[in-house]
Amino acid sequence: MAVRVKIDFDKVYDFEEISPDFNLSSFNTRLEDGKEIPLKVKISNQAHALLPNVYNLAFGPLNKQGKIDDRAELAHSDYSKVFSTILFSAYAYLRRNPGHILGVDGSDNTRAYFYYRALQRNFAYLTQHFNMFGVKYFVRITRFGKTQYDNPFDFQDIMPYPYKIGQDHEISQNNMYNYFIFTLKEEC
Amino acid sequence: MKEKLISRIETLAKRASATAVKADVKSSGNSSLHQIIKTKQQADLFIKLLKEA
Repeated sequence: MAVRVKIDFDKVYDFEEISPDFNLSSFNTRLEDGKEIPLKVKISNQAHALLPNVYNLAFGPLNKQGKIDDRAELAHSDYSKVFSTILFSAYAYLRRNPGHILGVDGSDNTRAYFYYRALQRNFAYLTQHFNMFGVKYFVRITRFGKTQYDNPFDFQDIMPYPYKIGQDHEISQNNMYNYFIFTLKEEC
Repeated sequence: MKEKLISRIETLAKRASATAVKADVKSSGNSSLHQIIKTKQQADLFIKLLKEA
């Protein structure tokens, strides 16, 4: 995905539908082949029991089961407009639901790297509206004195660690964040 | 700029109240973060780190 995305909340697609609490919206994106397809932006209705206020945002076309396919590969004619619309819907949701935290799954390293580069390239614009964090998942290594087992990794013990996203932090695709978090920027 | 955005959001809210959402969209399950955090201790530590980040 060698695409340069420019986020601009003044250049977004019109919403075809939007729910009163803004947790569901849809808009039509035009693909490179000229077709138009609907994209859904869905923010989970319920926060995790252990993570109050953290809500997951997913986007994509619907699959045959009526679920959002967040791994669909689409050739958009205007990536900037698509991602501006998605981020504008996130911004509108956070405005309407104060104190909520939005999270987006990277889904895979390539996609996560694409998101990260888009956030970095648009840092000056986005940081006016959001605090942005990347979350990495770390697996615990078990040790017993100087001896370490052949397989010391405890994959049941994973720690998610958040980092504030900066404009100039270079991270390779292989070390990309697993999850992205957005909170509304506090106003002075 | 923020005032303009807020005004657009208010317009959207009026439109949202006036139009029903047609599709019942299911999300594709819990996020990876939600699957990883299994204890209150993990969750509390994560939120603390997030506030400090």
